[in-house]
Amino acid sequence: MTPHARLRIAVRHDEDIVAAGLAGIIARQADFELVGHDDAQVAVADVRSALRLLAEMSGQERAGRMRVIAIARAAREAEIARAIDAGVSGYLLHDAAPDELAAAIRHAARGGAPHLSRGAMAAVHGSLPVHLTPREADVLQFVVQGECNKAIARRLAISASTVKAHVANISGKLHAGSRTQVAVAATRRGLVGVQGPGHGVGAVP
Amino acid sequence: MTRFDRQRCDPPAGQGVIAVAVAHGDPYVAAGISALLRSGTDFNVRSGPPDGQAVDVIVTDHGGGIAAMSSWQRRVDPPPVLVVTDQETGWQIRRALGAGVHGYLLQDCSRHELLSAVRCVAGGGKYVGGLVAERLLDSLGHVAPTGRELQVLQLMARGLRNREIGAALGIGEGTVKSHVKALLGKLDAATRTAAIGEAQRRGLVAAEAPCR
Repeated sequence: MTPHARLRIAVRHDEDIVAAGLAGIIARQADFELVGHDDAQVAVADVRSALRLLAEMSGQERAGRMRVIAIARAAREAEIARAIDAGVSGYLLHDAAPDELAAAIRHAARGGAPHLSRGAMAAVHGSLPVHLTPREADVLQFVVQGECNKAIARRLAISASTVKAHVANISGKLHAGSRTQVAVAATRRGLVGVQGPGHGVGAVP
Repeated sequence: MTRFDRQRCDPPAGQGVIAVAVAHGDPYVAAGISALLRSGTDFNVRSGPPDGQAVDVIVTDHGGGIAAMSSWQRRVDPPPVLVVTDQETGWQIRRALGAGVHGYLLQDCSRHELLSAVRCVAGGGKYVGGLVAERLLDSLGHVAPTGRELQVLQLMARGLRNREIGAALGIGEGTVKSHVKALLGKLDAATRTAAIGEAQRRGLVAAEAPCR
């Protein structure tokens, strides 16, 4: 890249309005140029598209790869962690002002460490990552749906006292004092697939 | 797509431009609405609240729409308000339309629908998106919780126990218990956690920590 070349940036967002907003903000920067994602150095995308773009590039050398910045509506710790694992160069919520977006793009193009916007940072800070066993994750799924131990036991074909033990372990890991607190914490932190409509990864289209 | 008045929503046949004020709290959405409207030929787009200048329509977010309606109650001829939001639960839709906003559109709408909605509302019509109409109709069958029940529900959704809820609201644990029982009935839920999930789906409590 010559020193005066403009940064080539692509926008991928599943909402027309946000896509137009991101494109408008990028087009206003003198050192940026909007291009298609085949030719881009940096892509700015909704979380799902960001993960897809990164998966498509998984075979390529990291050095020459397009950088990907994810734009998310909600800050869920587990989703942020998953995106960072997948290799995003930034995770911005809609709390990031246009200037911060532009700065994050330049930072990503230089190959810097992932940039998190304030809200995303707050979601990953102050809580250690939670590691649940696959069985605990199964149980948690049903706890969040409001099932009682007996019903969960039936579904997973294990005894109610085993379910009870799993729930106690999960409560400990989440520092939750009650069953309801387990469900609240798990939902807030993105540990289960169940979530409000229209948000985040794997949400309804 | 649902329109209450089809004629008023069509592109204008030669009449003047529509003056639009875009005052939206989400910076990307605000930029996007402005950019998409500017791509239509019949809009004069201004960013930020109208500040006394005459506009034909204000495009804002959910909170902005409700605030505008309550602050303009005494104004003689306030401009119509179109809400563009990601709040798609029946309760949130009812709150905004109940406050008197003229149009309600979800943020994932197409460019075409945004332009139609702005024209429609600016022309004196009312507009709700297709999914919005559906959610609204679904919610009509739901019995709304009382004010006290809503307070209990908010605390319940944060994971508080009945005793703690009672202490927070200055009421007895037994009273909390009967509120919770009434809530389970209204939300058609068998357990406390199931009730919270259903309350989130209906939009009675926030589904997550807000991003701002």
